Amino acid sequence: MNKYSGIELLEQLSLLVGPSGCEDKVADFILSQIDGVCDEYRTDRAANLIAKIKGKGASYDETSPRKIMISAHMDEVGVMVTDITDEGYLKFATVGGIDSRVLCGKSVLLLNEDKLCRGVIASKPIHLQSKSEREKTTPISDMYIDIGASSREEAEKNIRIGDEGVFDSDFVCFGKDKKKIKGKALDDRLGCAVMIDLMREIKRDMEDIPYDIYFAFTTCEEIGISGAAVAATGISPDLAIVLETTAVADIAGVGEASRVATQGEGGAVSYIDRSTVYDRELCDKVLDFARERGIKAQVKRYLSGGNDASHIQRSRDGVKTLALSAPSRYIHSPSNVVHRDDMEAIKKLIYALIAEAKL
Amino acid sequence: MELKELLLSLPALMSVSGYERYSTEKLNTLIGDVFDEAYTDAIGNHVFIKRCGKEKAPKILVDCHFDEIGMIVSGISEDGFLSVAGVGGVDTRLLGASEVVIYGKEEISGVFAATPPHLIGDGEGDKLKSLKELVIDTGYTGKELEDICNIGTPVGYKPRYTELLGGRIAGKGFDDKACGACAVYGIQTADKNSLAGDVYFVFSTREEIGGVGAQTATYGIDPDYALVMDVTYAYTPEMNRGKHIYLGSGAAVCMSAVTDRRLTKKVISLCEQKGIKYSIEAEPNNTGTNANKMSKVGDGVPTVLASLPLKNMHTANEMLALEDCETLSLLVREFICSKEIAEVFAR
Repeated sequence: MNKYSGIELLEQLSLLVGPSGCEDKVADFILSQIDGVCDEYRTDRAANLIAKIKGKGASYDETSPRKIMISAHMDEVGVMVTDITDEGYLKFATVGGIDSRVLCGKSVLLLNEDKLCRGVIASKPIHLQSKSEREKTTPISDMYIDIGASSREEAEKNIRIGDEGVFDSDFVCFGKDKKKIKGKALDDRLGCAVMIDLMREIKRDMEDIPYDIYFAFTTCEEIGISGAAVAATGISPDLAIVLETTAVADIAGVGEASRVATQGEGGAVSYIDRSTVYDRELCDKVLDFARERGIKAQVKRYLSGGNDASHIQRSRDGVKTLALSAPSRYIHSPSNVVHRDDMEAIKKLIYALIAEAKL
Repeated sequence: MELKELLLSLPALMSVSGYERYSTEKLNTLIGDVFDEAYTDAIGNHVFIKRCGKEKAPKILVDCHFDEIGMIVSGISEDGFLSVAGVGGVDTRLLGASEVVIYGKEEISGVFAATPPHLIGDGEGDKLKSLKELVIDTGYTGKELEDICNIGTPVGYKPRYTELLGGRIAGKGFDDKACGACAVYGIQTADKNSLAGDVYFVFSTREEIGGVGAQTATYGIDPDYALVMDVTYAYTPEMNRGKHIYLGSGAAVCMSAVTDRRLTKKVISLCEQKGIKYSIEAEPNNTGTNANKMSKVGDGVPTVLASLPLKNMHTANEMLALEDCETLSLLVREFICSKEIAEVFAR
């Protein structure tokens, strides 16, 4: 398998099909990329992939090493086939939260065993809608996936009830100097990409590694039944960092107070979100450190969302946890948009925190 | 060019109503070889002629509209978001997080902004924003955009084609450039010596905003008779009309007061003779196509309408069946070669 890094790595990760519960293709790819840069790895019973880089050098305490966990989730939002109609259409439910407004008319990629099946999400055409229907969102229960089959029989040859799928969406760099990245599943393959590159840089460049570092690529974040809980229990870290993407609205027509964070201003540190109250001291320390080193970072400015941090924080007898997120527009849609510089800033900040033994 | 290749390349051209000249050069490169002559008229219709080589030959017009629905830039914000106005019927339900191309001085990518769930207030969960309220994210600032686009720049769905089961293809612009592909392929496969007349293929403009293009093109050409090809609604579960027009049902030949009944019956018997799969579509008063205007141009033009069944019309994922396109190509070829029809309708 070719080795990828940076944007090319993110592209490969973005294009993989890995809705919650079906993360194995993502895990296999990650394994192919970290081969040779970790000291050991294992897949736990919740299908998390956990890779370890052992500490070394003067700052490393051999007898009771400090354990740091860095995690990102491999899964993405998607759909699951719930029924097949006589006419060969697929009824579906979402896996994780997807607003019905970004589903209508979109292309999907369904996974039947190892075969891919393409489809289009359709609903009542515009010329048949009443005026009131045109002003309202179409409920997901009124949508269906059209895979081109003309009968139930033809559809069943290619798909089964329970099969999962994801948005079918190209990876595109756009905007000024191609700094913006558009794709599916950047939530949270961006975190996975940063972790893979971090592991390589630590292994290659860091002479003193002050901690045993556990890189956890986790499962099922999007459905809230987090694999990270199992990963954290297994690792039993002294401190954890969750690398995520956070939904932002730094877009036209949205007031400053609701924008959450600003793209291009670095990773967003959460003091609080809908599922976690973070360790204030740790947040302050990281933000101060970033400021001193001239690495861009910002505070998440809106109480919203939640992530694996809540499960990691509550594992065993409790773990100090930090969430550092790339601001992402239009998450949980086929077109997540992130900023290249934020990805770089997050990687740089974590690397410096480890290199200078600040965790 | 093979039919499938035409089906994947012609619909991908940018042709938002009123901006059809944007793609003239590309269009000529793609299909110019099939014809003896080509010109673009005052309104922007692209006319291609294949001669039969005989003097005083009847003029057979085959019309498909080149234009497609889309948008134009109506505002540019300081932070680089575009507002747009619709050109033709745009279904706003489909726009959240969808991809577009902005056809300015350079072609740039854009994404329709979607409201993140945390900003959807209580009770607003099922409200739909109107096109006026939606914005496109370009990744540039307003200042940077000044050199790229301006008010009036056309915006279209991103061309992206997906092949599905059973020879179905989904993508943008099949309305009506897929019919154009069928027509070009049909004309390409017709032997020059067997043509019943000179064939005028009109890739007409502005159908989606009223049909001005086909009207003036028809006047300019003054054909003996005409075949109009457009898309029609293939059966989907919500439709309460008959199920006889569906993907795979072949050419939908229209019975209407607008079109010429004698010519239509000739075409139906042509289908019967040549084994061309067809169904009959009943549209008594208004076909919603260029046939409405064309049949009453000049001293009147006998017109027949044959349509391609299409799902998801006016979306970025319109869906057709390759087999229907093959059928329509065959119909075009037999139509322009039919001496029987020429005998009756040539002036």
